[in-house]
Parts: sequence; structure tokens; C-alpha cells
Amino acid sequence: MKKLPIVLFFLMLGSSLFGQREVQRLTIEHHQELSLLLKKITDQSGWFFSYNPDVIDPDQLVTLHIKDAKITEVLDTLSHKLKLRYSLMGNQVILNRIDKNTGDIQSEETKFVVSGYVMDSLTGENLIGAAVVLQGTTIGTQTNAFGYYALELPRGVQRIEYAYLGYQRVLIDVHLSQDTRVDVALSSMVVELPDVVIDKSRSSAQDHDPESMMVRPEILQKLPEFGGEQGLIRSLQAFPGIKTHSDGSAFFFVRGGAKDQNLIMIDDAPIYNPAHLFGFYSLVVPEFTRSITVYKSDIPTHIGDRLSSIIDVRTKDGNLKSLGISGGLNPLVYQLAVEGPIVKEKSSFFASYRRSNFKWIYQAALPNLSLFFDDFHLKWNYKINKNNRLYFTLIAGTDQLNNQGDLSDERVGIQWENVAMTLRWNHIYGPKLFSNTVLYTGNYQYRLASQSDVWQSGIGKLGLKSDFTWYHSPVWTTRFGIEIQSYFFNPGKLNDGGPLASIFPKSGLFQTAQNVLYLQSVYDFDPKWRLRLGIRASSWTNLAPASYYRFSADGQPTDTMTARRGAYHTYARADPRFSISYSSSDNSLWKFSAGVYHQFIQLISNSTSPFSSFEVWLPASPNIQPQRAIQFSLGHSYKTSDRLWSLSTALYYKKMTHQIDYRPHPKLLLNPLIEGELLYGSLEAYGLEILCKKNAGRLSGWISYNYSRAIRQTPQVNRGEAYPAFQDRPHELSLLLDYSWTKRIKLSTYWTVYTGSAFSSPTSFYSFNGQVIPVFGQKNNDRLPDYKRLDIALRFVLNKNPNNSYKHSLSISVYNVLAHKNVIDVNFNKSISEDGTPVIRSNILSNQQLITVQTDLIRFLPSISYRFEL
Amino acid sequence: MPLISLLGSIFLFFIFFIMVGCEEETPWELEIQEKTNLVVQAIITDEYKKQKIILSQVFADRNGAIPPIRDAQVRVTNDEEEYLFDSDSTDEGSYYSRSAFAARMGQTYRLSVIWREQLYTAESAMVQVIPIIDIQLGQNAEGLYYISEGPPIYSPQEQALYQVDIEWTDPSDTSDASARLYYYTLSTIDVSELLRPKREDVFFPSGSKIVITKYSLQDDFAEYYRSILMESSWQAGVFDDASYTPRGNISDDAFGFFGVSAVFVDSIIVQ
Repeated sequence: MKKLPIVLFFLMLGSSLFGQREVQRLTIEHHQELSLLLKKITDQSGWFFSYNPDVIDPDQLVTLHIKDAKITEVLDTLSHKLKLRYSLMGNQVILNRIDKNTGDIQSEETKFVVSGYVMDSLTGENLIGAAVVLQGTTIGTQTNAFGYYALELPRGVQRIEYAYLGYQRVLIDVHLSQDTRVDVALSSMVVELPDVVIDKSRSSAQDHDPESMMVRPEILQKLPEFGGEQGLIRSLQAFPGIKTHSDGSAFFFVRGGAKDQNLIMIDDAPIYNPAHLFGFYSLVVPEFTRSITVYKSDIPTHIGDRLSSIIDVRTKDGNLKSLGISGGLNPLVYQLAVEGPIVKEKSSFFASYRRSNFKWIYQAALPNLSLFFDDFHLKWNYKINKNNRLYFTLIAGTDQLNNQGDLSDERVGIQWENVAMTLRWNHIYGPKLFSNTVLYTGNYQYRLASQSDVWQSGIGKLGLKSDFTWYHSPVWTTRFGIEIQSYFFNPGKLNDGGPLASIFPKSGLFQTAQNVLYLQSVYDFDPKWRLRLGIRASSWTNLAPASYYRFSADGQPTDTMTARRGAYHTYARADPRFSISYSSSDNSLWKFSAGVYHQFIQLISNSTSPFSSFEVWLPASPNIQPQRAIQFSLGHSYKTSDRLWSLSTALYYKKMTHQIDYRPHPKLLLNPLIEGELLYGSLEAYGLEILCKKNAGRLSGWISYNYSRAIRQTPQVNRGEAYPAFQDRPHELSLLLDYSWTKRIKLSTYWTVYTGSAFSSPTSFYSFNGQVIPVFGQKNNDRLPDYKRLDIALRFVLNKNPNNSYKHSLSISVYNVLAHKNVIDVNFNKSISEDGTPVIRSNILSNQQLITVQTDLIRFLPSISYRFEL
Repeated sequence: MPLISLLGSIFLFFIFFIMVGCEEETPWELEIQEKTNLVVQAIITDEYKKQKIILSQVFADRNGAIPPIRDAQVRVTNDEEEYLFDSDSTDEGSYYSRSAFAARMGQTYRLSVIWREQLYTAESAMVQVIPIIDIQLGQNAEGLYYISEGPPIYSPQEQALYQVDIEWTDPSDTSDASARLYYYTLSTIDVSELLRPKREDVFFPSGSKIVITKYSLQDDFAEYYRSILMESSWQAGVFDDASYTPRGNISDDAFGFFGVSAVFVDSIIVQ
């Protein structure tokens, strides 16, 4: 029943448009080529024609005299005259020759579905986002996240074009007399400079969405490396609207949102801490990824629960045809990956292991210290039959920092762990109905250990999602599904056996359940207009057993509540989302979107540090209402006819409520009353994003500019007045250039400059017990200096013959080559020690002067890395 | 507390490894606002003596002189007595009780300050002090001593402030030298505390005299002291929190604290 209003809406809209065109009267006097005649009809009626020029000669002379006739009368006359049949689809008239064998004029109205997978001919991997288009028309579709497509077309011989960036196009004539399965393998172009490949597929302008970005790993690999590694988050910051916290940080902000309002999903499993080593390295290995889609607005309803962005990472399946080995080595990290068939053409795997190698840096100075990270990525897939396929994904990452004391049992350390797993079943119920059912889990926890004491905190999620895509017709696709999720939160707990367990306060554990229903339809009511309408409905339930507190307005606990069984609190929220896009030509697309978003989990941290440390995740609860956002966005994308240049712009406005803020000097660690430290306010974000790209040529790249603001307001903070959020950085300019010097040498440069983050600096001081105490005025009244950075990278392909089975390359990168001091912190409370380093003054009787000290992290970081592929 | 102290050490090492050479002095123009807020530093103790309260004003230059307040009317009362305080002309900004007295357990003390026709008030009550002080001394390569480990930073049983006064004669020029350091024990743990920045070491020779005064801290005084630490000794690490003004328990937009503490004193001769 929920779908009925949407269906009715589409039907009413479509019939209304058709009706308007049908009543138009046409007058035609023509004795010229067919192509000119069709153009005349289009000019008068607004109906476009689609036909195969190999079947119907556009240069044939046609004489037609018609006065004041309906479009259907014109088409009837024309089809009779030329022995054609026509069918109507959207505002397209599709012309075909009459089948001489059947001669059945009525039968061409029958439509059938051509469906299947599009894959790489060399590896058998499915291709995501490949264009499948009826040749010579804009009727078409794209493959979904699993490489599947379905396209309903009229009976007869249909010439279908399959295209994917960097691959040779394939044209296939499909004789449609029944639903037909066509799996297509595309061959990658045999060129030594893949950058010269331009996407010339005639996919609809509607597929170039200015509000989401699908990034292929090859694009990220153009960016200079950091410490010998490509980082997912660090690479994404080169795109408009995405800003990392600062150097070496895995935190990032999207369109003014907070750092916990972004979700990274690997094959549907959430990753709560996507970083190694406090944020210096990304957990996700770029070689493991197949596509990365970034949603900043108009987020589809099948994903959600974050206010600012979703980064949907799809991983490689593994080569179905041959064994491959690849790897990389640099002074700090080494990595090895293996992929290949288990059963040829039926089952394959991809496995990768990476480990850091820092010991040589600190061994002499800190012999007892052990610091490393490692991660393991695994993907397995199995084609049960042509309608069923299984996938398994595992990502496990660990960071360890241990100190072995002088005594053998004197050992302390910290360990961070990320584990994400998915088990997926793709099933094709019929050519028009594709399903994706996935059981997934995402877990993040960290542990502090000292002998027998272990303190740990974490978050875990287990989910089951059944997602369906229904391809009604080439112009109408509906996606719907159900998702059941269970969360587990541990804000911080000491193990019961250790001696410290009785000393530190105990924090409660929380369990919640979330059930989601979603529905979204995408309807092209003509080739120029696309409507997307959907809703995501969630129920969020806090589950017993649990103890929680009631708080007074000033954060003091007033009551302790204990729930022993069942649910003790529930939120129900509905997120309607809507967008409409208009393409004035094949090259230009306008899009307006509006959407409501809710978020039920939050990262509790008042830290301004770029590094992840001991954050606590908390669920929505009786005290914490779900965060909410409403966003409006207007975007435009334009591509030149040759697809060489593109320009996209977006204007957005976002209002977020129930935003977490903090009481002064909140106690967030080992505090069972942590919810009493929270305050709630709003955040208003708005901005303009411009991105101009040169997509191919020896010199390619892009330049982007963002103007963005993020203003917070919390009644109890800053006397209730609005103030700039930490992530409020009004101006940002970035430039990426990728130059193919020769066939084997490439130079990449990335330059960025943006306004520094807002922070509070003292406006006066006072003295207490001999210590100088800062007094702050307006919150975030000051700004860090502007951030500027230039990175360069030189890549050498070492094998002279590109067809060698052993391919290897060497990259030399310099991060922040101009050694600009990008400040992450400014402090006003240090003195210069005798050895000239800034320290906290401890002797209050000394007359050392207090100075202002700034901290920057990475002034100049060269790296060299070697990569190979066999 | 091996976990906490060793964690701190590990992080200091690690952060030092990342940060070396990346912290430096910078000229910075502050948006100074001329203010005249009252600042109260008042710790009444259970020692029988003339109690001292210091009044000053907010100032703009953090290395400049602290502007004293000389013309205020100060008094402390409890349910039974009233103690008047007089300004000391030789020690500007300091006010001493006219008569000696010792704070007592079970009494609530109230401070009132009248300055520029404005009344400022605060109240406080004393908690017990546990008469144990645990400080470890270390020795550097030159044979000079330093405090290698202060009192535990965390305890659920007590909260305390330690004032450590060290006096010695400088062997190079036989002049007298002294130092005053503060340590604390709190019942809360913070990330910026665990990962606090490097603190200046004070070295002193054998024969130095160390006097440690331990003040008990009631909850709100400990909270105020924690807020001071977050904006001073714990600030400037790479895991800083957002900043706020430590305000204290004085009414009407004044800063500082009026506290009543039990005191335990211990002395050490270093040898």
C-alpha cells in the first residue's frame, strides 16, 4: 500500500505530459531526407526519435504532406509509408522495420527485458556503473553495485551499446522475442597511457549526478602518496566538500558536518575507525577497492543513518580467470596481495596482508617499545548458477603500542582493533527483480592493558539487510528493502579480575536494535527529467538490561533507572527524500534535492586533536535524542561534447538539530554519568562547491573551490549566541595536475589551501596559585593560520614492455614539499626550557616568560615505494 | 598506578617521536578585551594561623604584573563566628584575618567580598585529608635530584592538591634558590591528562629541603582545579580538548575559588 501513492503520482504525471503532447497539431510539407523529416516532427511536437541507422536509412528521401494532424496520425502515416513500426517510450518514438516474417504490426508493442552482468573480460570481475544504452538513443541504464543491469525494450532486433570508462565499447544486436539474458565481457583498452581514455559512452546526462561522486581507485592513485601509501580519506579530501581535520588525521568533515556524521561502509559493513596509527594511515587498502561512491546529499534511502555523508566502498571480487600477485614495499610499510580463481570462471578470491615496519626508526632510542599496525583483507565469491552468487568480505586491522618494562611481567600497551565482515547473496528472481541479501558485522574496540588489568571500549553492529531492485521499465526503477540491526556499545569497562576494577567506576553497556524499511523510485518521465522519491523509516529501540540516569538541567543526576527486560525506550523516525533533475542536453544536468536524515549513534569527544584516541560511542537514548538534518541542494554539471572538460557546481543548505555539545570541561572518560556532560544545540551549514575537471590528455586534473560555513548554536554555550564550529573553514582551493611526461614517467602535483579552523584564544588572563589562567571571550573567536600544502609525485614504470607479465613501478613522493607549517594547535602556556624546547612551566616561582607556541605536524615528508604486479 | 603512569610515558615518547622539531614559538596577536573582573584566591585551612586571601584583577599581559585589589572589604563567616580580613600594605592584594583561626570540620564557611560596591560571595566546607604523601626522587647524570614521580594522579578515595616547596643553596654561586611545584590527586581521568605535554624538570642538589603541603579538596574545588589543569599543565599536548574559562565558585562573574582545606605537611631533607 505504501507504494500506491508513488505509483499514482508517476502515472498521473506521465499521462499528463503525454496528453499535452498528443493534442498538439502538426503541419508538415516535406520532400527531403528522413532525418530532416524526423527533426521537423521533433521541433513541432517535442517527440524525439530513436532508430538504428543501420536498419533504417536516415538519408532516404521521404515525401510527406500533412496538415493539422495529431502526432499519432503523423506517425501512422509515416510508418505505413516506410513499412516501419513505431513504439512510444517516455517522449521517445522508437522506429523499427516491420518484421517480414510475422508481419504483426501489433506485436511490436510487446516489450521484453534484456538483462545480465557486465564484466571485465580479463578478470571476470563485474563492472559497476557501466553504461548499457540502446544505440542511437538515450534509452539506457547503468549496472548496479554488483554489475547487474536490466533494460526493457520492444520486440525485435535491438542494438545495445555497452560502455565503461577505460574499456572498449561493445555493440550487440539482441533479437528480442522473449526476456533475454546477455552477460557481456568488456576488454580494457590496450593503451599505455590510460589517462587518455575518455568516457564517450552515450549514457544519459542523468547518470552524471552532481551530488554524488563515484571514484575509481585509479583516480585516487593519481594523488601523491603519504609515507609511501595511498590513503582513502586523505585522497578523498581532494574532492569538493570533503575536508580532513589536518595532517595525519583520519577525521574528516563533509559540508560542515561533525566528524562522526560520516559513515564508511565496506561492502555494506560499517567501519567505525578507518585509520591506523592515530590516523596517519587508512585501514582500507586502495588495491582492495573497486569503486568508491561518496554521497554528500540526496543520499539514497537504502543507506543512511548519518547526517553528512556516506562513503560506499565496493571491493574487488578477485580474478576469476588467472592467478595474480601484487604488492608494495616502502621503508615504513609492506604489503602483499594474491587473487585468483578457486574454480575457474565460478569462484575466486582476493587476499591482502599489510604490515608496518617502524621499528628501525625508534629501536635505538626506545628499545622496549613495540609499535606496529597490520591488516588483512579477504574477498571470496562463488557463482552458484547464473541467478545466484555468494560473496564473503573480511577486513581486520590491528594497531598495537606496547611497552615492555625492565621486569618480564611489567608490560603495558594499547590495542585498537577493527573487524568488518559481510556474507552476501545476490539473487535474480527474474530479469526485472534483483535482490541483494547481506549479513554483516562491523566492530571497533580499543584496549588498554597493564599486566592483569584490561580496560576496553568499543562499538559493534550486526545487521541483516534484504535489498530489492525492481526494473519496471527503462524509465522507472524502484529499490526497496528491509534492514534489521543490532548495536552493542561499551563506553569503557575494566575487566573484573584486575586490581583496578574495584577502583575505577563502572560504566554501563548498552544494546539497541534498529529496524529500517525503505523505498525509493527513480522515474525518468522523459529523457530530460528524472524524479527520485523515497522514504527511509527507522525504529530505534534501547534494550534491557541496562541502567541509565535522569539528569537535571545542570547535568546533575536526579534518578537512576534500571530496565531488566525488553525495550525501555523507542524512537521512530521517517526520512523522506526527494530530488528532481533536468538535463537540457546530453551535456548539462541540473538537480535539486531535499532530504531528511537521522543519526542514532554519536562519537562523544570534545577533543580538538586530529588523532583518534579514546573516543566513546553512545547510542540515542532517553537522554540523547537522535540527531536530525534537513538538507537542500542545487547542483549543476556540464560536460563538453567531447567529454574532455567538465564543470560541476553545487549550492547547499543544511540545518542540523539535536547536535551534541558539551558542558565546560566535560568528564568523558570512565564516567558512568557521561550523558550528563552533554548539551544539545543546532548547526547550520551552507556553501558553494565548484569543480572543473580536465578528464584526459597528457595533462589532466582538476581545480576546485569551496565556500562553506558551519555555525553552531547551543543555548548553554557562548551565552546562547551562534559561533563558528571547529570545522568552519570558509574558503578552500585545490588543484590536482597529472602529467604524462613519457609513456613511462608521470608527474602528479596536488596543491591545496584553505582557511584555518576556528578555535578559542584567550582574551585576558588571571592568576591563581601562581598559575596563569586564560580567560576566553566568544567561543571559537580565533582561527588557526591558513593551511597550505603542495605534494608532488614522480612515478616510473620500470618495465619497458608494457605487455610483460611482471609489471613494476617506482614512486617517489614528497608530502608538503614547500615545508609549510600547517598548524594544528596554538597554546599560550609554555616557556622555553634551558635546552631551548617549549615546556610547561612547573616552578611557579621562576621568572620565565610565558610564550605562544604553535604545533605543526609534517613539514616535509619524502617517501619512496616500489609496487609490482604479476 | 602503573597503567596510567606508563601509558603517559609511552605516549610522551610516541608523540615526541612524531612531533620532534614541529613545536615552536610564534608571535600571536590576541584579541585582548580589557576587563576588570575580580579574582579570588582563598584557601582557608585547618592550621591555626592568620589566614590569607588574595584578591586581584584580570589582566591582559600574561607576563606582566598582576593588578592587585587593595580596597575591598573581606570577611569569612560560619554559623558561629565572623572573621574580618585586612589588606596588607606590604603585600598588595593580600588580605589577612585580623586574628588567627583554624577551619573546622562540619562547618560551612562563607566568603563575602565587597569591591566597587558589588558584593561577591562563595561558600565551602572542609573534607578530611589523608596523611600520606608519596613522592619519588630521581637523580640525573650530574648527581642532581628531581621529582621523578609525584603523588598518584587518580584516586577514588581522596582528592588533594600538593604544594611542594624546595629550597637549596646553589653550589656554583652559593646563592639561595627555591622552587614551588604543584601536584594533584583527582577522582577523574582525562585523555589530555594521560597524554599531557612535557613539564619542566626542576633539579636540586643533595641537602635541599623539601616541604610538601597536602590540601584536601572538596568535590567542587577539585573540579575547579581540574579545569585549571586542563587550561594550563595539561594543555598543549596533541590530544587537547576545546577550551573554556575556569570560573570557580565566586558569584557575579568573578573568577577564582574560595576553598576550605585540611592540611598535612611533610618535610624531607634530600640526601
